[in-house]
Amino acid sequence: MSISAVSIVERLRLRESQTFLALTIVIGVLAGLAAVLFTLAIEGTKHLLFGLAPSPARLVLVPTIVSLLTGFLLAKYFPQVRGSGVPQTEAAFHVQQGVISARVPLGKFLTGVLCIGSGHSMGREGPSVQIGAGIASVLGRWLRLSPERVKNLVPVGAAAALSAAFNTPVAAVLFALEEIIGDMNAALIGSTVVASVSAVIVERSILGNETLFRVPAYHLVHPAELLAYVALGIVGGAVSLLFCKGLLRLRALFFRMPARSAVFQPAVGGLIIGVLLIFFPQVMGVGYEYVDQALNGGLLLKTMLALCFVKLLATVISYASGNAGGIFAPSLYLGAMAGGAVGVLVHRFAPFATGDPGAYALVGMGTLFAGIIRAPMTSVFMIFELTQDYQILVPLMIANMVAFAISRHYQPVPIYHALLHQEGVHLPVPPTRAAGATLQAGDVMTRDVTFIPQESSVGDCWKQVAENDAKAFLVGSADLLAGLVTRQSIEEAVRSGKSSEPVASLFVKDWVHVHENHPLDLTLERFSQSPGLLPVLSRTKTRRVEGVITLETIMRFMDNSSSEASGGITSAT
Amino acid sequence: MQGPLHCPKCGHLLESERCPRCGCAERAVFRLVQREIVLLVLLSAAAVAMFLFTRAVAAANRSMNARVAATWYERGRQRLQAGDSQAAADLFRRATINNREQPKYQLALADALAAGNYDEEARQVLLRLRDSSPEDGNINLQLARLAAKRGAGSDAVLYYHHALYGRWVSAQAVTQRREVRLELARFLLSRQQNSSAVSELLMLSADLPQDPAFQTQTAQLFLDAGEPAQALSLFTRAIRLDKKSDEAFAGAGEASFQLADYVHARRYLAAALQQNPGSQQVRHLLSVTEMVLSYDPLAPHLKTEERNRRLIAGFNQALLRIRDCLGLQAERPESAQAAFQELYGEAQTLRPGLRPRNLTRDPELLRSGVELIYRIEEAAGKGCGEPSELDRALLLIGRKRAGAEQ
Repeated sequence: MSISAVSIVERLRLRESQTFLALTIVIGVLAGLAAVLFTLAIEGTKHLLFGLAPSPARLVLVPTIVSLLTGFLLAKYFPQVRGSGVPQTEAAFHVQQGVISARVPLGKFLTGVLCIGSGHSMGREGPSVQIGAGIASVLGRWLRLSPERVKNLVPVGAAAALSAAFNTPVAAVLFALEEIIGDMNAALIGSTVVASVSAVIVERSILGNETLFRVPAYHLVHPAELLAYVALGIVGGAVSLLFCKGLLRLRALFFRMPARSAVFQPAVGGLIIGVLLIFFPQVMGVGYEYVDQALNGGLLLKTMLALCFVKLLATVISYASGNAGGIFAPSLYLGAMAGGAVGVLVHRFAPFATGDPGAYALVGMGTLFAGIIRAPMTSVFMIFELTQDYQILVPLMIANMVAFAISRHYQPVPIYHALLHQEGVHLPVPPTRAAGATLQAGDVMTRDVTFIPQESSVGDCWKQVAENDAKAFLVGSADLLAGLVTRQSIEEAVRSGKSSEPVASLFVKDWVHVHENHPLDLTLERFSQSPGLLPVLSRTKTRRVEGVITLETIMRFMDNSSSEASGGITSAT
Repeated sequence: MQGPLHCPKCGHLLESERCPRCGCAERAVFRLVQREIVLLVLLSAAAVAMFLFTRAVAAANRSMNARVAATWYERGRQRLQAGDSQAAADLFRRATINNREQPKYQLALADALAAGNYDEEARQVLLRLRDSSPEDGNINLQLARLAAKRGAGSDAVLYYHHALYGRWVSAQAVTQRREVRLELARFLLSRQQNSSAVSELLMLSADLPQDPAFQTQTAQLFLDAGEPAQALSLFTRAIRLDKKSDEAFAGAGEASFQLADYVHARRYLAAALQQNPGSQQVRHLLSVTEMVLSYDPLAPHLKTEERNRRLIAGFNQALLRIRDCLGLQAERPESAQAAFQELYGEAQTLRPGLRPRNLTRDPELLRSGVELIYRIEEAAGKGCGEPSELDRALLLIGRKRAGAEQ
């Protein structure tokens, strides 16, 4: 067939579809292998660093010294790979067009192995997700796929890596849809399934068909047990909240420290973890072996209670101090311990027959996952995939929903999004994503923005704005917005003789903002809450100003729109 | 899929199927397809190489974990032998963590937990193990022991039977099954389920090894279950295998004693005492046996004088017993007190007639005397405290004769 016989456009489209499909399988295999290798490397490193029975000194020194090294690597070479990797992957998908630097998967692998292998209480799934997404993005760009295709490969790689890391292919697909894409109806379901299946085949052919945990057979012994699962949901919700709030507060504390201390912050975490490991070596690393013990009745009540508390503390410290590792596995660990403890108590004190504590530990895993990660569908399918038993669905859904509701009520922003907020990244919420190509804030804003220097006094400020009839002004610069002041507050301050005071003293509290891709209805709603000036900020750096929206820009936009519309009608006519 | 197309070379948006930036079109498609095929082949080759490497790493990791687990297991065994079940459980747990596929580590963990009285945890471990090997004899045996310990009788019997008919991997399977049945019989006896215990023991005795100790143990259980004839048979078999087994002699003596075969009982008990002179229990039983033999007035081949002497001696002892009994300030129902009074009255009535001349002349008087002695000793045995050796002997003589008459 000659080239001239077929349109080049059709050829390119065909080429890209075929390449995308082939690449999906290759990415599934490579991401799966990377996730398996990551797991094995963590185990090998842990064995190498700690040996069989480490002395207390070794338990303290290993995480401290290794964290010094990783702190240096994270600060100097791989600043994008701190923490879990799931929020970064979400940000890459939603606000960076799926572009992930080749340095990211490499750095995540290296620092993740070092951090988790040296005893930090963190999970391997989050890093695996970032590694898989990174591999997908790099390969997509290497093969010169269109930006849209490259972006679509990110959740594909993430699903494949998670599938291999956790050995639950269906849950991995759901996680990619529910958490990374944020849309259960996404058109990418086919690609993620293909990649997830490829990855799990690779993983099972290397590690065998054995599941991560020996899961007990589940039985709902008595209908009244459902009440016990409600109680488990309440406990799960409370533990989830404690975890999320604790993590965010401690992380904020570390963020407030001087920037030059960032190199040493992981080592501070390492030192504290080392001390904890002397007394509770069970919280070291991923800790799935102890989840398995809890599921199979191998832990005592007091041990489970203690481990639940210490693991929470250890994970919060490890993560907040800036190490590389996730919270997926710790949330399951906490759930197994909390659930197991509730199960033992119910087993002992309930006036009716109950199931084994292991069954409660299993439901507890799903409950904490729903409470912390806020992916309830993934949670249900993950536990269902582990047990392969329909009976568990009802109690699991009850406990999940209770924990989810409690967690959402007291911590409205999901943990991954809240972690991104702390880094100055605002992900688009579902209505914004759904708005797609409709009118957005970017269409209404002007990039012509006047800034009042941050160091100005009220008097200087008044001189600058006196000739301007705007109602409010931005203070700072285009790259670093400091705050917002109103004309009225400046006038009042000048009249009251406070001209020498810094302009910062007049900042409006709790001012609202929008991002360029916010839909117009939300933009207008926010504008009505603003003092007449609505800043439009970058999603990846929330202190960078992209533009502003004022009444004037809105009116201008409406004029343009109506003239375009009338022009359109005229021409149509 | 009808979205905008980008140049495969520079990424710029295509306009009219051409790239305005680099101008590539048809030739670029060819190059691109060739390049993509090459890249995909390279990626596939890299994936295969990475797969082989990862598999090698996984194999090394597995063998390392197996070695670590074996080390923990050995250390755990040492701690368990030293009596530190808590530390042992911790070490066995580490062994199971490093190697989940080895059931002996799980069993050892369950053992250590049970030894530390963490029975529920031990049970959970065993139940998980049983899920994967429901026919394993050892797992079922451990579960049976735990059920027995917590008093769940039916569960225990069920697990013991699963253990009996389960799979034993060692070469000693037959011996292990025998041991399990012996343990089951002991358990049933402890729960007073004697008939079930006897059933198990009968099955056991059908295939006993030539091991005098084992035969003695089995015989002893028959004896405990109230089957002295079966017990005696096994004790004598054990004696034939080991003529110096004091336990077998003592058991045979007791079985004979229970069968009221006092002549053989004396022989066996004497032999037992010769082997083990320190046994107070055997000495006491021998003493009673000898009294039975020396105080029975109805024993065969006795001279009349001796027969009469025995009856009078026994009667006097019984009279003393009933008199002591009446003198006791024990709380007892009026009817019982009246019965004692009546027996005492009968004895007082019979006493003057019990003279050697009367006894020789009237054999019925002898039988009446023996019968009254028996009735007194039996009644006194129920409400007048511990009998003396002679009282016990008289009771046995009376019981033997009453049985013989029936």
